[in-house]
Amino acid sequence: MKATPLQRLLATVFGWIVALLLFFPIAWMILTSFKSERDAISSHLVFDPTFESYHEVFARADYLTFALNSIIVSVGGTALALLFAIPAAYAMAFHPTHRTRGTLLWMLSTKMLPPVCVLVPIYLLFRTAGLLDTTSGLVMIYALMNLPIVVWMLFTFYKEVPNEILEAGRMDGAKTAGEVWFLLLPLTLPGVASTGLLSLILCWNEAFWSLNLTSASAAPLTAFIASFSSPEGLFFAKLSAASTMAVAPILVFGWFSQRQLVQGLTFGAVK
Amino acid sequence: MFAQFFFITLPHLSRAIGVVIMIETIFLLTVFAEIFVTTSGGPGNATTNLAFLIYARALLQYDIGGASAGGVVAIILANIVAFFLVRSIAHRLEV
Repeated sequence: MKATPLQRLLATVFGWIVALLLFFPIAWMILTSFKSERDAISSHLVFDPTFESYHEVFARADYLTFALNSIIVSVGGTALALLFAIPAAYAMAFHPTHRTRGTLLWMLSTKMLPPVCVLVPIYLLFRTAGLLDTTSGLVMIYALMNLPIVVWMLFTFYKEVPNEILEAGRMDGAKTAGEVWFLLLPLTLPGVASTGLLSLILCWNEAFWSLNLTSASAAPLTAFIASFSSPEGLFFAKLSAASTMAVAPILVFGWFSQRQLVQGLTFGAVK
Repeated sequence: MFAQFFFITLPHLSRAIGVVIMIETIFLLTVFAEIFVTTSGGPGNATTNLAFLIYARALLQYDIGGASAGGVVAIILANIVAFFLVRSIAHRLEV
């Protein structure tokens, strides 16, 4: 059944409305960041754009340190997760046993545990191990947090590689490590890349653990935003400016990698 | 067109919609950062949810026992949803 031009027009309009609705909070945040503190709480739509709040944000906090911490923990967490997930997914995809299914579901079920439930034990563990407010502690938490998702995505990508290709490699004398490194990884590189990208974005946006486990020296950008919410009343312009600066890098990154990301997500995992 | 959507497309999406609803329920059960940054659980306790309550108990009032009890309640709440979620995912998982 073909859609008439009117129906196509309606679908387009509807699509745009939904897209704008989703984008509205971000647009509002960016707009507010250019307002003065007085304009930010007034109900007038017209305002004089000013960089005042950006100046104050830069003066009050060291943006680059926070940004560097964010990059370190995101990249580190993703790398660590991939390091463990690639062998795990390989084993489960190509050498399944009757427990593989249960293992996969069990891994996924840990993702359904609200992180706040384990806040107390993890906090106490970190305190005892001296990992509070260190980037290495955050890297570990992020890697563990993303491990189920990463394993699941890699598993679905590996599933699409025919076993015969690996067998041929084995016939030519490849050991397990060579099999993974020279055959499997090149074949599933788009999948591994989009898994890594997703994990990177999830790490960057993660706020619960970074707010609770860091205070100063290892604090990523989420803590940077939180430091601008003051108890004696909110300064919306400064808060918006800080938030805009915190999401800008990942927004640009996501913009450039969106093709890769969408391709990876639609080809493999979500089926 | 609308009949096609309501009687054919939507019923076929029902399982996916169910999974999305359950996943979102689990995630939204423990919203934390938004509350932490904007209202800090206030005014009074008006915007304190379970996640923020546990945080406040553990790290602001140093009531480790109370926070742990809250954690157990949160696990039970999430598990009720997760039980159905895992079942509906396990259905389709082929290994």
